[in-house]
Amino acid sequence: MSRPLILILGDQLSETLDVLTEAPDDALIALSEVSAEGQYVPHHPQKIVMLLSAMRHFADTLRDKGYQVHYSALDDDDNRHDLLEEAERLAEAYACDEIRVTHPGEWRLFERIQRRGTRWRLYPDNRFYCSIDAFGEWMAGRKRCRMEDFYRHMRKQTGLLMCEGEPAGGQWNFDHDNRAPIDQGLDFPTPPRHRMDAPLKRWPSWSRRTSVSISALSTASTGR
Amino acid sequence: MTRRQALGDLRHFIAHALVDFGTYQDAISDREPLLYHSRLAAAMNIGLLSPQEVCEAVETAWQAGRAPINAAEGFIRQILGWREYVRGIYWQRMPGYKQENRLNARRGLPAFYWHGDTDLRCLQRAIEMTRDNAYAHHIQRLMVTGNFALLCGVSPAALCDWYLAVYADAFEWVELPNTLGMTLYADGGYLGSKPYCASGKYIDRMSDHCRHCRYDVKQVTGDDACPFNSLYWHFLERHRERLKGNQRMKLIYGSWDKMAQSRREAILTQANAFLDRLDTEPPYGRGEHAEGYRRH
Repeated sequence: MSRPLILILGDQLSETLDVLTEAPDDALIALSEVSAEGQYVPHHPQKIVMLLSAMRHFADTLRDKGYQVHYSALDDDDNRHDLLEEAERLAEAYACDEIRVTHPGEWRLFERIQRRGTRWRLYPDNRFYCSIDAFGEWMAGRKRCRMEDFYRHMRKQTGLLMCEGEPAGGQWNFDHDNRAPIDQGLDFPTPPRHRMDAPLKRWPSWSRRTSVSISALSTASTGR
Repeated sequence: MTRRQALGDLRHFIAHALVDFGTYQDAISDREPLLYHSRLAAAMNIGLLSPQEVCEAVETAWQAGRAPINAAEGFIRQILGWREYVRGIYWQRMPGYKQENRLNARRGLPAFYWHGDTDLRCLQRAIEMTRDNAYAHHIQRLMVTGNFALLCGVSPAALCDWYLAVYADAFEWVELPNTLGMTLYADGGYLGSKPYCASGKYIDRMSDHCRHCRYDVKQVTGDDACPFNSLYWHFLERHRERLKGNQRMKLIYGSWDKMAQSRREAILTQANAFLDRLDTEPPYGRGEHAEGYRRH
């Protein structure tokens, strides 16, 4: 039995993914910070911080649970700075002959993975109420595919806010009640603030270079 | 950012904001970025929270009498409805969906989208809040920055790349249908039955921006006129052939046609003068991502 490498992308930080729950004991989990994913558009610094922080914490969580994890940091010398190339490099290094990855959230990566050959194996993303195939079945044969119809179908299927087959409150849609304008007398709750934490103190030089403020990013991206 | 923090945010939302979420879900504030919104999309989109646990927590709060049905339903509609729906559309319609530009919009991104330095108060505040928080709520995205881009004819590539870059919750599967389809109507009405175009009147009704603005939202022409007003008619006139047959647009074309020709001309001249002065930047996406917007 061969040992698989399991690539976890930055927006796949869920322990419930099939690719993790079905992982054999000797699987190698890979999380990779690569510059290619940070540079095709100049992401907001807070978005980059959030993603890197969440990835680093998630890697620690997986290690605590006993998974073997390889974490490629942005400033690792041997980082290939491309998700697929980095995974293939690690597969060689750890003698993994299969690379498993959950269906990515972007066509660009999905298509590249499919072109990559038989070593790569895609797992469905099980984190949605409606799978890609189930959505296709819902669409098939429909002249119009409006959100409202899909939503009612999903309410019935999941039973969310349903009372004996009828929508809770006697109607599907409360948009009419939900259009109040701003009012000066309103008092808004203060959201919790999260402090920056230890994994971000290892802040890589790359992100300092590419992101300071939105306007600086725009200047950098257009070369002016 | 950890799952524990995200669960804390969820609990906070349920305890303090959900009760008023529905009623004020479309309101816009000049000072308050979050209002009663949950801002859970980023945590959900990177996998720290599941849509199931979020929806179930909201349903439980409603069952316990801690949230009214209009709040629970309005919230669950966003997750179980819109979020799942746009993901389904994305995977059924890609890669062609990203190449759609049915309104033939060619303008670059208004340069002030990067810094908020504009005298249109609603845009200035939406962009400043975006800059400060990597977040804006859905009505700011749809009816302020989105609506303005729609009215000006900003290209899908230029606007989509901006949304993808500036919002912490933006990943292409959710950003593209919302921006290209819902906001810019570039898919020809596949997602929405009519474009979400609006004049300054809508923004004035839902927000308290206009009282802080140097423009007069009640005027359509003249130096002090709110630019949204003339741009709105300019948009409708530009796309008359495509939109005039739409049942939901008939009334509004009726009002336009009833105006005196000299009035209509003055409005279009006003909008053209504004568009001529608008400083824009070309799309800046790179590599295969940028290539994805082009037809092959």
